[in-house]
Amino acid sequence: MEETLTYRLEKFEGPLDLLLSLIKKNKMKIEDIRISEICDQYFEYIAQAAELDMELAVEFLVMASDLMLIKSRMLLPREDPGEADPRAGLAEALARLQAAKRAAALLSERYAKYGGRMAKETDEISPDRSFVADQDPQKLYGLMRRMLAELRAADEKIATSAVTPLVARKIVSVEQKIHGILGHFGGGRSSSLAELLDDAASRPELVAIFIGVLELVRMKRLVITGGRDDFDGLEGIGTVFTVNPEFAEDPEAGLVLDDYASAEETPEENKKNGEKTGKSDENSDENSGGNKSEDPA
Amino acid sequence: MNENGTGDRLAGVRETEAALEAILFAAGHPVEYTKIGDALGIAPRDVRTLAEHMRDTKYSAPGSGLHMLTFAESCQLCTREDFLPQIREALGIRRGGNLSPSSLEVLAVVAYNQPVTRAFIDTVRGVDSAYAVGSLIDRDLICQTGRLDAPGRPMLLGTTDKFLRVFGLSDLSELPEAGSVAAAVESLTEQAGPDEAGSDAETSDGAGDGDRPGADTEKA
Repeated sequence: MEETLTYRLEKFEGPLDLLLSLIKKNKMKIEDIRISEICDQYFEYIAQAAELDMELAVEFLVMASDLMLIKSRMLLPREDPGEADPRAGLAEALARLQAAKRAAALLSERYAKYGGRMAKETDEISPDRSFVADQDPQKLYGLMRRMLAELRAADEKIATSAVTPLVARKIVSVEQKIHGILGHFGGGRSSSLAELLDDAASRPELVAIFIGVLELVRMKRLVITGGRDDFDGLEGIGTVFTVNPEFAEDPEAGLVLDDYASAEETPEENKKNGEKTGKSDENSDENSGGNKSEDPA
Repeated sequence: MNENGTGDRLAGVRETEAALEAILFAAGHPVEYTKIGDALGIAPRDVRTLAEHMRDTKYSAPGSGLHMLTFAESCQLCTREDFLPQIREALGIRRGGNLSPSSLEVLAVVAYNQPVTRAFIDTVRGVDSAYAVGSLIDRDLICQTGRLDAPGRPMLLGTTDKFLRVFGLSDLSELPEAGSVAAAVESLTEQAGPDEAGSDAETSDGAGDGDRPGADTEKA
């Protein structure tokens, strides 16, 4: 009896908090609460609080009735052995709160350590953030491409996450990417490797674009017209490519991926094949060109 | 000649580093790699590489009073946590910024289970948490991240960049292990044995923490 006095007057953050502390005090396990013992102590607390005119939130009374219900259910014999333990719901709620408290303690440690990291407000020169209409069209075009790639990536993420990992491996055809790369150069523009790779929404796409660029250079459809090495370890990323003007006039050119094409196919058929897969769904299996990169993940 | 080229390039990188530092100082808040990349004429991934390099060299050196924080999409400069007392003293900031146990509890529920609704927080804690939620929003540690597509369209809450900063995290995956309420319930049902594993244990909190692999949190 004396022992109960020590916690009887404590204030608790709600009934679950009180129950958790009672369970700890009585050295019980959450999954095996001695309900009648806990019930008595809980009611004792409530009576004591009333005596002291302590204001108790209504949740405490709701929990009191829940406890009574569980207690009475425990008295009834369980007919079906598979029937859930009447204490299961309560145990679940207590486990959640315990997890939250444990997490709070861990966070508290980190806050004590890193809470002193201060940042400042942006400088006081009042900034003019109005949009200037006079933008470089080339830049706007690049930004639009990037936005579309990001939107597509976001869409695909939603689509794949909705379907479970059964179709986690995505197959990206290099041929299709070559069409994309050539589209990027539309109008005789030049473009750096970094810009081309920025279109990739995933790692396999990145690989496919890179192979595509190498292939186009090998076929001399693209020529290197400049370069910039900004960083160690990232050399070549600034290499600038332009469409080879001589090549574009060659009607035989098409998209001849001779190394990748199967033996029977003529270049002409291959070209059609390339166009077809370019339009078809990226996930489809009909990209039989043999030239694919797969997501390792 | 070759040496000369390397020297030039090194000077270029130095200049870019300096520009990055200036941008982050002026901003104060986290700035996206893409925005910095556009301004400096380099690819966003190079900005990130550069920021990480600066974080590990210049800002990890004992002589620095600042930290470089690198997040998934942005980076930020902040003071080194060790100098809090001196900063407070010099600027006359009185003590404060402490989080109450109930605020920390609410924050933990949000951080490990986000996005969550107020109702979810109340359910986990067994009490009304409106006050703690409000104070955490005022302190910019949590914010509204959207609305749940359910009757009443309740507000969804998540943590902010400031949360990551003051808890020394660069990513939510770095949260210390143990905390997800779903995991707690799962471990509970495991202990209770297969018989009593309530079938609703897994579905009861769809507030979603499934996509955070627990194993990755070791590095924190």
